[in-house]
Amino acid sequence: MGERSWYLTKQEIEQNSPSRIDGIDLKQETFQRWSYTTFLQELGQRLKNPQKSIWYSIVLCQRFFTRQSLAKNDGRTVAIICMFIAGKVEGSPRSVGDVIAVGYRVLNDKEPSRQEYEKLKQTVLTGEKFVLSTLRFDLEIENPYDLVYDWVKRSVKVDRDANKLSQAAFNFVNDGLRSSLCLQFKARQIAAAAIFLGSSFVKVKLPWDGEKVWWREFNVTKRQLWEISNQTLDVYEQDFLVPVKQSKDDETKTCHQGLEDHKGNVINVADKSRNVVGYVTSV
Amino acid sequence: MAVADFGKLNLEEPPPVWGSRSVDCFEKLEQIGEGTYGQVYMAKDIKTGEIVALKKIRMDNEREGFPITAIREIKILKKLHHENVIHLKEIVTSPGRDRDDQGKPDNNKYKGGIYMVFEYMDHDLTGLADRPGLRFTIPQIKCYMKQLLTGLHCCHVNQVLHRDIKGSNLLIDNEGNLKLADFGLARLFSHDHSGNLTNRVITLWYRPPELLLGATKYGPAIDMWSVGCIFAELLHAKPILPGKNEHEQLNKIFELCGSPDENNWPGVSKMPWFNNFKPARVLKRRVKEFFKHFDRHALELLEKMLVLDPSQRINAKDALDAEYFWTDPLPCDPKSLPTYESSHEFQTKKKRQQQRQNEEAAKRQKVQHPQQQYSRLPPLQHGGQSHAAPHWHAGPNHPTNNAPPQVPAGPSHHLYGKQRGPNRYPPSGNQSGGYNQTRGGYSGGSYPPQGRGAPYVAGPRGPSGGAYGVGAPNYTQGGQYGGSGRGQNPMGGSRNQQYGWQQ
Repeated sequence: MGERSWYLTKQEIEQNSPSRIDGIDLKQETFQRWSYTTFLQELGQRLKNPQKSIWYSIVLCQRFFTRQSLAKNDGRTVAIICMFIAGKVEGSPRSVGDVIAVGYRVLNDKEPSRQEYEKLKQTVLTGEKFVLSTLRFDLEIENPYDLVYDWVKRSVKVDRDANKLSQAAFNFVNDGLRSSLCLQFKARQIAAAAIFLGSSFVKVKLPWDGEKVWWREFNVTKRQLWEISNQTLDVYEQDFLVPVKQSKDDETKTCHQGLEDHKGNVINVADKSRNVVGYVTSV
Repeated sequence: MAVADFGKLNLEEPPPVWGSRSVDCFEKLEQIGEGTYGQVYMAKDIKTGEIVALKKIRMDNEREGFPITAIREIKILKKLHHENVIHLKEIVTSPGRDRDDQGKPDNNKYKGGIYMVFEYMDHDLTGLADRPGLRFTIPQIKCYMKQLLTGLHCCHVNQVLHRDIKGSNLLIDNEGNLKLADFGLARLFSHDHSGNLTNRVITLWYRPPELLLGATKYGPAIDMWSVGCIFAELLHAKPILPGKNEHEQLNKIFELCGSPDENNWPGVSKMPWFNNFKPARVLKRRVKEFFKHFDRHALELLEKMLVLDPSQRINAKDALDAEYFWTDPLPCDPKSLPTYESSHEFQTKKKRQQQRQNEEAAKRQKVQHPQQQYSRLPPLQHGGQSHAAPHWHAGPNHPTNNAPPQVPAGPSHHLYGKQRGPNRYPPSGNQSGGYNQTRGGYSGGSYPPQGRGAPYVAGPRGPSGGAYGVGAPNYTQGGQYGGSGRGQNPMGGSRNQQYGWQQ
C-alpha cells in the first residue's frame, strides 16, 4: 500500500497537485514554492546548517505538498517543521526552540512573544509526526552535492578549474531548488545538469572521449539533461509581480527581497547559459 | 482559494492513503519486549494474517520531538535491504486519544504513538545460547557466523556502523536465518574517518580497545571486534571478556591480547586515554593459549578478529573468505537447523520472575529442591551431518502455547552463570556490570546479563530424552523428526543430545 513513487512528471505536478484540487491555481502554487524554498534557504543559512541539510529540508517540503494542499497547510509552518526534521536526519540537529525562533525572525523581522513562541512550538512538535506520516517516513533522500564534487574532482585535472566548476555547479543546484526539479528528477540527474550548466558558465571543458559521453555515468539522457537545464534557467525568469500584489504583506516582503537578491546575480548567468542549452540541443 | 494561514496544518484528517497506515491494521497478540526504548509486541496484520513485531517508539520524554535515534534507525534500515539485516516493513501511527485531557473532543490525528513494524523473529542468539542443555554444533556456529558476517558486510559497504553488535541483537527465526537488529546506535561513516563520533557505544563486553582508549575517529573495525567476541563466546560457551567497568574491560582485553605498544599498534600511545589505562606491566598475547581447545581454523580467524590495532583487524569480507568457512565441517544450511521454542528476553524474564515466586514459596514451605546449576555447553565437535538431527517445531505462530512443561528449578537457579568450570574469567561481572547499552534486538530491554537464563527445565531427559522431552504436544504432530526429509534417525540415540534439553 502506498508504494507510489516520489518522482512525478511536470504535468502531474502542475495539473493534479492537492492544492490544484483545492482550487489554488498554478501561478499561486509556483509562487508559494518559490516562497517556502527561499525561506528555507535563508532559515538554513541563519541556523548555520550545511547546504546538504538545506537541500534535504527543501525536498521534504516540496514532497509534502505533492500529497497535501496549500489550502489546508501553511507553507511556512511546514517549512519550519521540515528544517527541524532535516537537521536531525542530516546530522546537524538544531533544537526546536532555535528553529522556530530563527524562523519567526526571518519571517517577521522581530522576536516572537512568549505566547506565539509556545504556540508555534506545539504546532511544530505535533506537526512533525504529521509531516513524517505524510511522507511515509521515507527519510533517505540523495543529494547532488557529493556527486558533483566527486565527479569534478575525478574528471577535471586542473585544481583551479575543478574548484570553479564545482562552485558554479553548486550554484545551479541551489537555484534549481526554487523549481519543482527535485520532484521530477533524481539527485544524480540534477547533478549532471548542474555540471553541464556550470561548465559552460565558467568555460571549463568536460572530458569527451568519442563514443562515451561523460554524463552516461549519471544515468541521465540527453533529453533529460536538456529538460533540467531549461527548467533551471527558467528559475531566473520567474515573474512574481502579479502574485506579489495578491498576497499578504509579510509574505510579500520576504519573497520580494529574495527575488531581488537573486536577480542581480543570476540574470547574467541565465543569459550566458542560454547559449549552453542551444549547444546541448545541437549535439 | 486562499492558502492556509500561518500555523495551520491539516491535522484532522488521517494521513493520505499513500502515507503511513494506522496501527489499527494490526492486532496485538502479546508483549515480547520492554525497555528504555519502548515496548515491543508480537502482532498480526489483520488483512494478511502475517505475524510481525511492533516496536513502539517512546515519545513521552522527548522535548525535541521525534527521537533522533529513531530517525537514524529508520533511515538506515530503509537503506539496508539484506536477508541478514532485519527488515523494517513500514512505520504505522496510532491515531491517539479521541478526547483531550479535559475530556473535550480532540480531532488531532497525530497525538498518538508511532510504531516500527518488523518481520517477526523467534529468538535472539543469546537467548538461544543460554538455554539449559542446548548445544550448538560446529556447522551451526559456522552457519550463524557466516550470516552475521554477511549481514555486517552489507552494513559496512553501505557505510553503516552498527555500533551495538552483541548476541541479543542478533535475531534468529525458526528457519535458521540470523538477522542483525537494533540499529538505534548505528551511524553512517565516511571512509576517511573524518567526523568525530562518540566512543560511548557498544555494550562493554563487546567494546573494542580503541573505543575504550577514547578514539572518536573510527570505522567498521569496531564491529569486527564485537564479532570476534561473539565468535569466541559461541565456541567457549560463555562471554570471554565480561568486564565490570571500562578499566576492568581494558585489563581483560590486555590480559588476553597482550598490552598495546607502538610496535603492535602504531599511534596507540597518542590515544586520548592511553596514559590513564595503560597496563602496569607488559603482558603477552595469549589468545592461542586461552583458546587452545578451538580448532585450528577457528583460532586462526579469531586471532585476526581480536587484533588490538583496528587498522590490522580483519574486515567482514576477508573474514568470510577465511579457511574456517571453507573446511569441513562446512557451515550448514540455515534451513537444516532445528527449530526451538520462542525465546525472547522479555518472556524469559517474565517466566523467571514467576519462577522466583515459586522458589520463595517453596522456601517458605521448606521444601527441598535438588540443586541445579546451568551453564552453556560447549559445541560438539563432530561432522557436518550432525545438524540433520531431529528438530522440534513450535507452533507456527504462537510458539509459547506449546511451551514445554515448566518445572521449577532448584532454589539456586538464579545463580545461573556464576558457577562455571575453570574460572579464567571470573564471572562476577555477570551481575550487572558495565552494560552501557543493553538493549535486546527488538526489546531495548536493559537487562543485566544474568537475566538471560532460560528459567525452565524442559521435560524428562536422558540419552535420547532431549528430543522427546521437549513437549508432549509436539509429539503427535508428526514430522518433527524430520518429516521434511531432513532427519534420518528418529531414534537417534546420542545424536539427539546435541540439541537436547538435557543438562
